[in-house]
Amino acid sequence: MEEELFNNIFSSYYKSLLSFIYNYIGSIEEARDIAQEVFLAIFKNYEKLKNKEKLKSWIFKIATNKVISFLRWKRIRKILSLDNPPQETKDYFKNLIDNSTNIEHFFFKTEEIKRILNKLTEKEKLIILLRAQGFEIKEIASIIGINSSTVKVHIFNARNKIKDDLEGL
Amino acid sequence: MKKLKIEDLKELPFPEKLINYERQRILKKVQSLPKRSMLSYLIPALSISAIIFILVINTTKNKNIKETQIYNNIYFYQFMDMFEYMDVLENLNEEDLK
Repeated sequence: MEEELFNNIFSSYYKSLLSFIYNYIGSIEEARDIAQEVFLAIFKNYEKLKNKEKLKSWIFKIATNKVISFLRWKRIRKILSLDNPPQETKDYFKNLIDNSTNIEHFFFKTEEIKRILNKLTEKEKLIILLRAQGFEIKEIASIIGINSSTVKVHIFNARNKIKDDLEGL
Repeated sequence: MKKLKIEDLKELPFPEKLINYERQRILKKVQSLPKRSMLSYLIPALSISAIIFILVINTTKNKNIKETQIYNNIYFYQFMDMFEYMDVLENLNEEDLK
């Protein structure tokens, strides 16, 4: 894989991919690691992707699978009490923040999103986050591996739960 | 309070410093992924050739053994026949020879 291709894919998808993972699991440290794993999987298997037009859908399918297996693993560790919940405060971000970043704006937005998404079930959250990435119902169904009518039902239920907080769903 | 829009979920305002740091980190990992060298093609090809070679040699060898066994058997029976013939001769009575 050439560096130019890497840069193109990174520039096009990294921010939305990291946002998708972060919004879903709620920890920046873990989201960064998963995003890295997704990118490694992309570059290991890029040649095998026959239809390059479906690149975005393929990337988010990899991400969805990684996130779901990560949460499953995390749940097991939690049951076995091997994990402490991550302590990510504003201090944690200090060395990652530059002058151009409005940290208050960043935290306000992420906290608001967390509050809204917490009203949803795991599946509804996943579907809403994929919808936010611009995927059609059929594409979401294919990424998650469920049928389109179930996706519609989840969107309908999610909309009822968060209609007062979120516009344009 | 201003409502959030669905588009707000698409891309969070991550600091550029973090994004650049991740770009370098992932690029390093991607570059360190093992690349498929000539050896990775050569080793399976050589292994297959070696297996075919061994099979051919074994088949030829078996064929030779079988042929040798057949010849040995022929010699053996010929040898046995000779003994039987001698036996018959020994058991002959003088009268029979007359």
